[in-house]
Amino acid sequence: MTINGLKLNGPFAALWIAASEQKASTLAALYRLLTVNCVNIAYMTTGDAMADEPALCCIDRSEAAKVEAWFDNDPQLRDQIRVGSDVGLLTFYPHHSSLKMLGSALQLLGEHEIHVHGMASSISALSFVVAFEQLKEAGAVLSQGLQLPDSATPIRDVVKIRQEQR
Amino acid sequence: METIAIYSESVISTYGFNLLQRLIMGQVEVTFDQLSRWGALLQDIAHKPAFRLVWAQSCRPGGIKFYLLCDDGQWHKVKTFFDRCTEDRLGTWRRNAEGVDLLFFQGPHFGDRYGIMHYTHKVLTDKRIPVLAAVCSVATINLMLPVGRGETAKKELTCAFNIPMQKRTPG
Repeated sequence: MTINGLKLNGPFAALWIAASEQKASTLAALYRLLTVNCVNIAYMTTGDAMADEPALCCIDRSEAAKVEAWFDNDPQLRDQIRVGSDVGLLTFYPHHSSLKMLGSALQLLGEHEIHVHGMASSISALSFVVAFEQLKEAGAVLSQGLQLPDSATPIRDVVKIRQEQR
Repeated sequence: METIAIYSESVISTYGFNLLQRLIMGQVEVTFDQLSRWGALLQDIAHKPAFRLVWAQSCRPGGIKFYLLCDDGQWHKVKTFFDRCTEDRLGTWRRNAEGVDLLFFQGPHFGDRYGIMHYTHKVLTDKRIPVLAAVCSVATINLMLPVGRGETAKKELTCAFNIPMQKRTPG
């Protein structure tokens, strides 16, 4: 089973939005706050209509302190959102819409006790949210187990995007 | 090294909206220590089903819940897998009875979606279109909507966003 590329991103701050009846309104308030302050969403999974489950939003680690400070000024965000430990994003492509490939990646990560906080597909890639301190190891595990071509190496993304409104 | 790019958008741009209607959504929760067994079982499905979207998220200490969207014609293959999970005591699955419409779009830029979720959410909220779930991964934004609401959502978002080089009419 081969992949064409693998990318490592992070660190990101993991914002955990609590499972509650208020989750949809908390998400709306979070979207607004991130927009007003030009903070990008690197990754997110929500179950807006699934009140019994949390939502996860990842933002650049360098933005976390100021975002937490803004939460302190808003009772709903302060009470409903917890900033968790740092995470990294491990992305490989293509996934070929293959459950076999997903299964293989999960088996490898599970066998190496990589803590997977989340996972999501996009059009051609699969991204895993893992503990940041395990990101490098997770990258090595998948690049070997999923047969990254010899000519390719895992890419460590060092580009930071900072946005401002004028 | 710093590169500064300045762009001006009076209306947020994207590359167009894609709609898949009446997908089946299955979900299963497993514990972290079952992850490798679950992954191994997933590779064993006899008739390989193709997914439209998968995502997972920690749902409680020690547990992770997986969601899978597929076409109606693929469901019997996925169900075979879920039934095997139950037999092997690897989580309890359930199927969303109503199904979902999946609306997804790309960009803009390199996964850089500053303000996009807020803008999208506001358009849908103003039109009273509920979002069942949202998944933002790499440069794709996926919106799970109740069956039958995807077409309206696509129309409203197509009008609200600028789609370069395309007609703004949905279709």
